[in-house]
Amino acid sequence: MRILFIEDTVPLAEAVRDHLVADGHAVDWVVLLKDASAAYAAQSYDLILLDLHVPDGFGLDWLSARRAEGVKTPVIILTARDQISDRIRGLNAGADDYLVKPFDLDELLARCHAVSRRRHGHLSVQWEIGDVLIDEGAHQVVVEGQAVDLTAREWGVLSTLLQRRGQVVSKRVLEDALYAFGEEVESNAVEVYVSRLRKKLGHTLIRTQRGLGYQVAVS
Amino acid sequence: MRRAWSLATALTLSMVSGLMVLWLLAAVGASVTVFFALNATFDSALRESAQQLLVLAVSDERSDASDDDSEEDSDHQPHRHGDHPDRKTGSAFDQDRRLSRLHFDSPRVVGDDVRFRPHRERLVYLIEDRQGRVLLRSHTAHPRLFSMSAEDGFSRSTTSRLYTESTADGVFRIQVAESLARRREAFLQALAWFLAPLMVALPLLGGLVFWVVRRRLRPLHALAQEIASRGGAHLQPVSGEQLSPDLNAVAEAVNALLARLSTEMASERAFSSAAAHELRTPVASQLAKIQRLYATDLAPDVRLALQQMEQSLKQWIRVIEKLLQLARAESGIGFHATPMDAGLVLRMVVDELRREWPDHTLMIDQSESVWLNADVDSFGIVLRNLIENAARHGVLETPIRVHLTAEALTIENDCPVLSPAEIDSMTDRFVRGPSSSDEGTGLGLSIVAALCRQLGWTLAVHSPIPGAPGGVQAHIQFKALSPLIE
Repeated sequence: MRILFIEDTVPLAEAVRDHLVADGHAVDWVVLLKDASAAYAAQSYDLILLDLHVPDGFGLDWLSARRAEGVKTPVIILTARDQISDRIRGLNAGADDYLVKPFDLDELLARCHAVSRRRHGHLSVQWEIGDVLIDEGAHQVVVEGQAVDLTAREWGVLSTLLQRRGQVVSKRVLEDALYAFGEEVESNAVEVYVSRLRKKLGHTLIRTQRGLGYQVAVS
Repeated sequence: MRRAWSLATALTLSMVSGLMVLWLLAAVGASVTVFFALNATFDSALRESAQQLLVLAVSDERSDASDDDSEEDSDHQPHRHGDHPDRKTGSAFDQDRRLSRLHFDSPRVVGDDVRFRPHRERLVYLIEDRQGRVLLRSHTAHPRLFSMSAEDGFSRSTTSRLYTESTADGVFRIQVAESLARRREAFLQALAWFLAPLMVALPLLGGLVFWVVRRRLRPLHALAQEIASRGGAHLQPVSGEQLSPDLNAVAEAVNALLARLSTEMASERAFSSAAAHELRTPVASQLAKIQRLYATDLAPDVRLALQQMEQSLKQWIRVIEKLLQLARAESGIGFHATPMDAGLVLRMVVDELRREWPDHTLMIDQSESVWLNADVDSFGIVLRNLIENAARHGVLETPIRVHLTAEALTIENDCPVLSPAEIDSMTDRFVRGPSSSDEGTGLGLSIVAALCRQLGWTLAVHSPIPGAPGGVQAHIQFKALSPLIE
């Protein structure tokens, strides 16, 4: 997933960003809301992680403004405001989930996946496609009964394709899901990761639609 | 228990009572004055009547006697009227003799020779001579009414006021009697005229005063009702319109107090939020850093040390959370009541706690939409603490049961039976349950108890659970006005 992460506490932001990247997501971390607005104008995101207390404004106001503009990207609020009323206000402003600091990083990952699945209309975290069994929550893949290890980037490509299961996903979307701003993207990176996934999971799982992109078969 | 009167009733009663006392005092004073004045008047009338009657009677008598003497003298020698030495002064003997001669057989009774219309005699009199013979009396004068042994002047018998007067030569004596009952009757009539208006006026005056007071106090009543109906939630200024200047001053004072209270509560809430942010964020950073380190290759002792640090930070954040809840409870957040969806809050809290206590089973029984008039954060804190307690002290094998209705909240967990002393001390601060681990702070139930007091709810802890051999039940009875029906 391509994630916009808005957080002004540097140590926390670095740890969260690293954890998300390690899980195979591309993370654009900004400290200010104006930078978040600029990033959102330039890039399409699968998920926004939003801190409420940032130096140039209140996160809920920014979120309300984006929702008023018609932005439908899922948003998870990360905040130290722990009261029920804060949570209700956050959800009413358009947040999809609300996580109170401090939180476990794995809990954050699980919420990110859950929100993303809901966004794409999928409720399950487990997929069975032919001989391939994928547990997205546990980051486990079993092919013909044998567990297979995937790298973070490979997970990123697979997860993006699974979220849009049945749809053709362009190379650009996959690149966006893998690389944040400033990261150098090799021209054939997507093809390389798709090729590695086919070797590990079988050649029938991911289909190539020439000139359009890639597609995961519907089980 | 002393009954508390309304202001209108108290004012009316005070004014009417005061007026009645003053009126009665005035009536008593006037009655005493009237009593003496009446007596003086009656006595004067008694004396004047006696003297007039005596003069008339003696004059009449002497005239008769003179006629008799003339008749006798004309038989012997003529003389001018008034020349006879005895005619001018008249010896007592001669007068006595003449009267005796005239009336010795029976006294004259006034009315015997003249036919008066029947009437009630208020004054009766009796004239007698020196020998005690009654010469003349009024027609209802009974001798028993008189005391002829009395000296001249006023005297009194059991039934009458008497006045006795004698002629200067002591030959004739008159006694006039007036009934004491008549005097009492006259006095009582006067007194009745004093009191009768009071009996009529007092109820009318009371009603009038009550009406006026009620009417004038209507703005005060409205002001009191507006203040009383607010509770702790509504801190907007009260309306000072249509109030008299003195009441307007009260409204302004109340508004100043409300504004100060509102500012204080907002400040305390803002402080709690700021404190939560400042305390939680650094801990969140450290925990995230530690969790990132787990992803790297670590020596076992370093990993163990990191795990211990992580546990310490998590315990610290639990203590911070409880202290912030305690601060919020002490700042009176429970007084800020608004209609809220209790079922939604329950679902949010349970959803959170299911992730925190994944090994426990939470059974929620909430069959209806429950809306309460309460502070949403207070209800969330109450729910969280009670369910946390149930998870911390309950056995894993038995689910925690949460039952929410519009009337009550009940949370039950299975565990060994607690002693009454343990139950009594559960709501004290920093008192941990018997099976509590180091993770407990001993503040949860004291926070719940404080918030319940503010919300007007009743918290009761039972062990064992009613109808069960063991366990603990926390039962909160919402106050009657709390539930709202959609």
